[in-house]
Amino acid sequence: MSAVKAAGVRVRLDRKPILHGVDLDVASGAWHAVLGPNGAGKSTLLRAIVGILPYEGDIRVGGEAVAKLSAKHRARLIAYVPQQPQLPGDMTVAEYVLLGRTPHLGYLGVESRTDRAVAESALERLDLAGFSGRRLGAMSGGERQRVVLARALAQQAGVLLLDEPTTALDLGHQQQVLDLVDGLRGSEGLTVISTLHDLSLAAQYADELTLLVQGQVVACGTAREVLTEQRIAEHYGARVRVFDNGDGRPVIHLIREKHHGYGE
Amino acid sequence: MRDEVDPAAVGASSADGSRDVRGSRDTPTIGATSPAIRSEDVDADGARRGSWTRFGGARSGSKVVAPFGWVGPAPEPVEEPVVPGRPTPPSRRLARRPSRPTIALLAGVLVLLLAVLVSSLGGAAGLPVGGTAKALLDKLPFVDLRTGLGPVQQSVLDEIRLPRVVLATLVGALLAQAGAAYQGVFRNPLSDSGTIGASAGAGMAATLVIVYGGGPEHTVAGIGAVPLAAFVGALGGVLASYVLGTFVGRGGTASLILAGVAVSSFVGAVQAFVMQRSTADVRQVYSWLFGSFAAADWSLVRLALPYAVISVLIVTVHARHLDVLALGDDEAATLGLHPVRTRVIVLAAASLATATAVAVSGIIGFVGLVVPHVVRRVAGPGHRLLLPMSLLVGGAFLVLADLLARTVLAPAELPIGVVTSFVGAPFFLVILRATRERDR
Repeated sequence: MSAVKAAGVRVRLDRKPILHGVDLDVASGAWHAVLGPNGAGKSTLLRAIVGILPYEGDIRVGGEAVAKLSAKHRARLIAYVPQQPQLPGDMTVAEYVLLGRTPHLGYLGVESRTDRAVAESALERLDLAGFSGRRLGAMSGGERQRVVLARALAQQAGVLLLDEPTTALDLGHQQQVLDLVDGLRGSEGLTVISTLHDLSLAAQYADELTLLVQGQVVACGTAREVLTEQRIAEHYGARVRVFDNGDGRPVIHLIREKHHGYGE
Repeated sequence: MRDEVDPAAVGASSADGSRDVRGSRDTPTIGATSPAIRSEDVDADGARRGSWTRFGGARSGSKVVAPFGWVGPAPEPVEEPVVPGRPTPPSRRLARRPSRPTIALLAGVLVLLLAVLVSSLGGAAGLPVGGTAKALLDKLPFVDLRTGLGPVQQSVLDEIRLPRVVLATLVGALLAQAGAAYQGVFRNPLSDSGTIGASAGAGMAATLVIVYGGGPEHTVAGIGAVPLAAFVGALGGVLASYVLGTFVGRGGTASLILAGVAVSSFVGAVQAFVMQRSTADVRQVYSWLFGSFAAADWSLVRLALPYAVISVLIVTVHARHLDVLALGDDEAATLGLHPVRTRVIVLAAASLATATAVAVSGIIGFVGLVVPHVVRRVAGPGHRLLLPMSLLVGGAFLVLADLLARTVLAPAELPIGVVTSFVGAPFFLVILRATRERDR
């Protein structure tokens, strides 16, 4: 229904190749995490899928080739939350979330009762109902992230792309946002593709992971298959210890350098 | 209340277990699962309940700014604590209550009408207030009033005052709306017709015509050569900025603004050079550069009106597009908008408005920059209210400024650009000060 399938995706930015033939296969309703060191092309991949970067290769959502769709049609299939969303400080929460209805409106952009109902429901589900008159400029980091998620929900797309949704959030808010996404995925069958810096978080929440290094997929599979000590050492240049408590969701710890007499 | 969505209808599909949220927009199944998530997430998990409460707590003590630009909901009282898990009371829903925008627009219309009346009264020949008001109402279709004005008074009103008042209103409205549109397109609060080369292009073209082309008396096909040159120059300046910004820069808003600055300063240098070479015409050029409605008559109004209507229509139609564009090009594109296409259309329409205004009045600064900001402070950032309000307030502002321009030193006239800046700048600072909590 909302399965996402990418095959041989290549992207160039300023004539510099960023992605060299990336494959991605995400089942409908699954959570797929795209991992990789800085500059691996994680965000570029998401931006290609949502259609704001030109690419070669084939990307399909629910069997439809995304490149052939109109921008509006594509926006009804895929919602995207960028790493640093632009939140106009003077806009109210309600105005902002209603902008998520854009792909469902005509050229004049007149919202119907249905559009308002959907936006209202999105606000409620992110526990923002009392915030609708609040200005975006007066909201905290965690609240802002929920507002952006509400806008993406109001879009009613089957696929949700999240670019580093936990950046700039403290521990509690990280968990809250990811739990929210998980809950929405469960209740509405959303397909979620997210980039994540934190490998342990990715292992906790995602069904499958893709490890992207220098624009190429180096590993793909479950967290236990992808996140091995050796692979992380090789691609991130980091000393880590991977703890697996048996539930298939390993936890990754950074290990301090040995000559300080700690870490064994 | 009547527009409130029946929760039972919204939640109906949950009964048959439907999970599809991507259905047609007529079946808002999205609300169906809401209560389920809420109870599951909050009640079954004590730890999470604590964090939700934290969100609720963060709300108290914060200040709400009324959602003026929002054509829908009533302002939500955020001080009220929200108990997690309890459904939102009906009064807090996004019930449609369009009163605030409607009130704002009505107030704007009223202010404009008063400004027109006051401005029609001021001048060398005294006109009675009541008679003039009746005479103005008499102009409306389907209204027929006995004005009590004498034939001379009537002709002063019809042939001298009114064309000037109407032209000033038109120009003020065009400049203010164009400024709001420029600011929306560039997502830059300092943008106006001066930013992207329109004013500079018009200024240079008019200077060239005044100095080398026979001056204001020269006409082409019945239209004054200076207005014509200003019109072409304004559009040429914008086009040059756009082409340079797209091909030399990357075509983003920043490179467009930078290209506009480069074009303006280059064109300004040419203009200064030309003026330096022919000091005889400097006075004439200057009087044009600061703008004036001294030459206003009905033929200028007729000249400007079609372009004004076209540009206002196009800009107004794209109001919501500008709201979406406020999220940046990338996010606008993921919402199904074509950012570049939208920008070109709105830029073209706003530049047409600017060119029209400049052609009939010369260069009048400040209106396009300040009026949208003042309106935004009161009406919020939503363009569906901001654009029409800018029209009304811009018209009222300029018609009053013109009244000052022609009465303060009567029978001499001040250039209107001097009045708009002299009166407008302090007024702007007062507005900024009075509404500064919005800057938080």
